[in-house]
This record gives sequence, C-alpha cells and structure tokens, in this order.
Amino acid sequence: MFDGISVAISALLQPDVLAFIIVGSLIGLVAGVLPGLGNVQAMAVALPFTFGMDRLTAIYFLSAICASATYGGSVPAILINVPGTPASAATTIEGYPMAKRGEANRALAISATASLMGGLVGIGVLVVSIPFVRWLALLFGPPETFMLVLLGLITIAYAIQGNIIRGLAISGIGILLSLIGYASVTGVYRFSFGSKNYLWDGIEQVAFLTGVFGLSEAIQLGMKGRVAGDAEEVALGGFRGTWQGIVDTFRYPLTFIRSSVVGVIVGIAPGVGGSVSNVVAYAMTAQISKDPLIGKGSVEGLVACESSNNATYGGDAIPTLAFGIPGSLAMAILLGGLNLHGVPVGPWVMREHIEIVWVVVFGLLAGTIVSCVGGLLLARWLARITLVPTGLLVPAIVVLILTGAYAIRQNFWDLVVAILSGIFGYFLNRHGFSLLPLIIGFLLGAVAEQAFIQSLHISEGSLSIFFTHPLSLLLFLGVVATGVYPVFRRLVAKGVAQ
Amino acid sequence: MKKLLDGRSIMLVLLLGLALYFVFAGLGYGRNSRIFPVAIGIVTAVLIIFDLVSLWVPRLFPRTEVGARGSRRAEAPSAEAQRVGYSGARLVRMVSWLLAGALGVGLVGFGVTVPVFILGFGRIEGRASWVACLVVAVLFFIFIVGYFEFTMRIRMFRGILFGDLLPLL
Repeated sequence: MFDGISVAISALLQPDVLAFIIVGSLIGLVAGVLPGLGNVQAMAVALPFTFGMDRLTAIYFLSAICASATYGGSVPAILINVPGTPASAATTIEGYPMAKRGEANRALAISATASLMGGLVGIGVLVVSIPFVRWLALLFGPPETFMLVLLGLITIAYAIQGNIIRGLAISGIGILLSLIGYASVTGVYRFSFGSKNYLWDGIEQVAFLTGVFGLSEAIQLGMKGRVAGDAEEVALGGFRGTWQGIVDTFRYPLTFIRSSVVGVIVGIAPGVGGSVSNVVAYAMTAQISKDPLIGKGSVEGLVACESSNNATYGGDAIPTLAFGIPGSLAMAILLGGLNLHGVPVGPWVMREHIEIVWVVVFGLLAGTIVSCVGGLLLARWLARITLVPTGLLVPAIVVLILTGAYAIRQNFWDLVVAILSGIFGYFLNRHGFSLLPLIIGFLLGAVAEQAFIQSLHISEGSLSIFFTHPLSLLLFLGVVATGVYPVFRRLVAKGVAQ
Repeated sequence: MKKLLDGRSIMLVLLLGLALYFVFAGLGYGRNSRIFPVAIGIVTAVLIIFDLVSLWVPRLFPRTEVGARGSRRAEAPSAEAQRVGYSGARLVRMVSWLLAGALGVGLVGFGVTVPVFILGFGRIEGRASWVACLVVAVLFFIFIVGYFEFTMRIRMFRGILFGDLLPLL
C-alpha cells in the first residue's frame, strides 16, 4: 500500500516543490476569491506553465491549485456576500449574516477550520480506498477498460444537469475529436480536415483544454462586465474571534461528520461537485438543526457548508486516480496534466504510477493546509481582489492562456486552436451543453479506441469478449442499468400516478 | 427563450455535421481504423437527430425532454447564461478581440501584441485607467519575456513581419 510514498514525500521536501505548492495554493485562493473563476479556470490557465517542470512538481502544483480554490471562494461569500465559486453558494446564507454581526473573523476561522477538516476527511477516504481500488485496477484488461470508459461516459451524461441524450451526444463529439490525427493502434493518419502536418498528433490537448475552460470563461466574464458584487464590506474584528471560530468548529462533530460524508459521496459520483455537496449538506443541517440562528448566521450551518465542499475533492480524486474517469472538471484538467507529463490516463495509473497517486494525495493535502492557514491570514486583502475590474482581468487571462497554449509546442496554430476551442466552449455552455462529457470523451476517446481494438485482436474479431469476461460483463450491465434507469423511473412514476 | 432554442438548434446542426464528417470520412479507412470512429459517429449523429427533433417537435418525443436524474423538466439554460444578459454585439466584440490578438501575434509576435492587447482591451472594453492598464501591460510583458524567454528558454513567436514563419498546416 505504501509503495510510492517515499518518492512522493522526497519530492515534497524539495524547496522548489514546496515553493510551487505555496504559489499554486495562492493562485487557487485568488481564483477562488474572484467570482466567475475557480479551480477549473485556474488549473486550465496554469496547465501550460507546468510544461517546463518535472512531472512530480507539476502534479503537486496542479493539485495545490485544485484544493485551494474552494476556501478562497468562501472568503468573499462571508465578507461581501458574493460566493467566489459555486461551491460556496450556501456559505453566504450563514457566513455573511455572521460577518454583519461583527463576527467576520469568527466566520472566516470556522470556514478555514471546517474546510481543513473536511478536506482531511476527503483525503483520508481517498487514502483508505487506495489499496482496494489498486487491487481492482489490476483486474482491468482491454475489454474491461473499454466498458469502464463507456460506463463513465454514460454515468456522467446521466449525472450532469441537462438532457441525458444531449450529454451522451456531446461526449460522442469529445470522443470523435480525440480520434483526429495519427492512430497509434493502426498507424493511419485520420480525420485531418485537409491538414497535412499540423493535426498529425491530433488536437493539442492543452490548447483545447485551456480554450474550452479558460478562454470560454474569459469570454463569459467579458460579456458580464464587472466581477464584484456591490454588497457592503464588513469589518473583520479581532484575533479573539478567530480563536473562537476555530473552537466553534469542534462543537458540532456530528454535523461535521455528516457533511463531510455527504461531500465525499457527492465527490465520488461523477459529474457533480462542491456546488452540489455544499447545498445538500446545508439543506440537511437546516432540516435537522435546532439552532434558532439557522439562516441568520448559524455556526452549525457554516460548519456544514464548509466541511462538505472541501471533502468533495477527496471523493472526486477516487474515480479519477482509480479508473481515469474524472469526478469533476478540475479532475479532468488534472488528467490533462498527467497526460501532458507522460502519465497515460486509465486504470493503469494505480498499477504503474502509484507515486503519482500519492503526489496527488499530498498535493491536495498541502494545498488544503496552505490555503486554509494562508487564507485566514490574508482574508482582509483577498476580499479586496474582487474589486479588480474585469477590463483588466479578462485580457490578463486571455494573454496567459494564449502564451501558455503556444509555449507547449511553440506552434502558432495551437494558439488558434485555443481560441477556436474557447469560442466553441462558450457556445456550448451558453446553449446548455455540459462541458464535462465533452472533455471526458476527449480525454478518454483514444484510450477507449485502443482498448476496443486490442480487445478485438485478443478475441480475433469477436465482440463476445466484452461479455465473456466477468468484470467486463458486470460493467456492461452497469451501462445498461444506468441507461435504462431513467426510463424505468418514469414508468414507475407514471404507474404510481395512475 | 426562443432565441436560445434557435441558438441551440444551430449548435446541434453544426455538431451533427461534425459527427457525419467522421462517419463519411471514416468509411474511407481500413476496417480497424474505421470501426470505432464510424460506430461512435453514427451513435452520436442519431442522438443529435433525436435531440433536434425533440427540440423542434416536442410532441413527437416527449421523453427526450427528460432532464438529469430522470426529471421530467426540460432543462433551462445554465444559471450563468441566464444571469449574463446576451448581447450579440458584445459577443462579436469579444470574439473580434481574440481574433485580433491571434492576428497580432501572427504579424508582430507576442512581445508587441501582449502589451498592446492588454492596453487596448483594458482602455476600450474595460474603461480602466491609463495607469492601471500600463502597469498591467508592462508587468505581463516582463512576465512573458522573463518567464518564457529567460527561465524556460522558449523562443516566443516574433511574427511574420519580423521574419518568423508560420508552421505548415
């Protein structure tokens, strides 16, 4: 179980890696504070800049960004009633009234402590699950891998908000886009759109990811105008409030445990993230709690919100590292980072690159600690970042994305791909298409094809291989069950109604 | 709402065209090279057609209006999309800025385009002060040159007007 830990720890103890973790956590914090941005956009923008780093440093850096944005989002939610990320939406309900009562420091301390503890629970579950999922990953051959990708795509299309059919269609588009270029399995240059050179390696993954996530968000921000809310800013208060907040968090152990468990479960489910766990955990607490201050600045409510959204990314990492099926958009970017640094995504990460798994674990842990401690100390200044005008923020994001997209291969056309992907992503988002199935299809399409062709080679062309291997059959039944469930549920509901 | 539906239809038609390209282009390759893309392309095209028909004639396929987790509600546009008012002119300007940025890099490279882009966008679109725009533009110029050219030893594109060639497509 502990293979790879020493590699991860010795990398972690390098001063440059520690520096990158701190920088990554600060980037995540700032992105979290800025409404409209979050860990996904921060990771997308930062991804190309990891190109010159060694593999472990880059993964530490990205994991730290991933872990730190959620707490960053809570700072403006508490201080100026504007959630920095969707995962802090419910935090405003309890955090801002506390701040208005003159208990801003207390609320920030509760948020930091609950975030830290929630994050630790999520990461703890991830660590405990490693031996089991590693054993499971050993059972995966080509047919199982193919069925797993299929199950992942259909589950995500089902889980995301929106039309299931549209979700599946957009994941199909993602898969098709991933097939452009030279196919390593068959040695054929395909779907080149007339390009004789540029598309040989397919659509450049980093340019596509940064465009779809980063540039589309920049367009959205540019359309929106000013970033910050206009709620009145509140005074922070003294150190006594901070200490009280830290102690307060431990007064509600049941709320904390329940909310963290909700966070982890929501995280494991593909396609849903902190925005859902934050609201679900808060709603559960609001129903159960006897606190008369619920909805008006309750400590218990705030503990529920903050522990759940930070526990989520530990859960998110489980399907991502175990099977290569990202549990959230941030994890999809992390997979892009793994790919960029030569770690092929899929069930074999646990099998062949266990040190990467531990790097992600320690990176998330370090990011959580740095962001919660640093965020608490810097809260006063972080909240002021929301006052940065969009007019300066948008060109800064655009420039970072375009230079980053170019720098990976030093190819001008990658910059054009990033822009086209950004426009494509903007329109998809605008018209109700979820980006997650598209990206997962794009990241896993080539893996799925390779597994499919390899399976056919093993079985000498017979599709029966997918149904004669027990695990593959089980996964296939999962695909069928997931596909049939909505129809079944509607029929049952119709029957009950009649 | 009507406008949104129209936009969604256009998106679906474009995606359908893309899926069909993969199907028809795929038919020209050998068995192993075409089997997967053609199968995925056909399934995707069928799903898109299904979605399109359900959008245009909801009575025909009421079940496709099933939302996530079996909900019967037709999904609304994203909360973000609802919050941000849609302005075609604003969108055209945003896209034009991006394309102008790419054109600028192509012609005169990153060194010139980056500060000009930040300065121009900040002043014209963001109405930020000259000083703020200048400071950000200079900081980013230093960052681009310092980080990429000196730290990472990456030669940033200088532009075709300064003698660099565009790579072959």
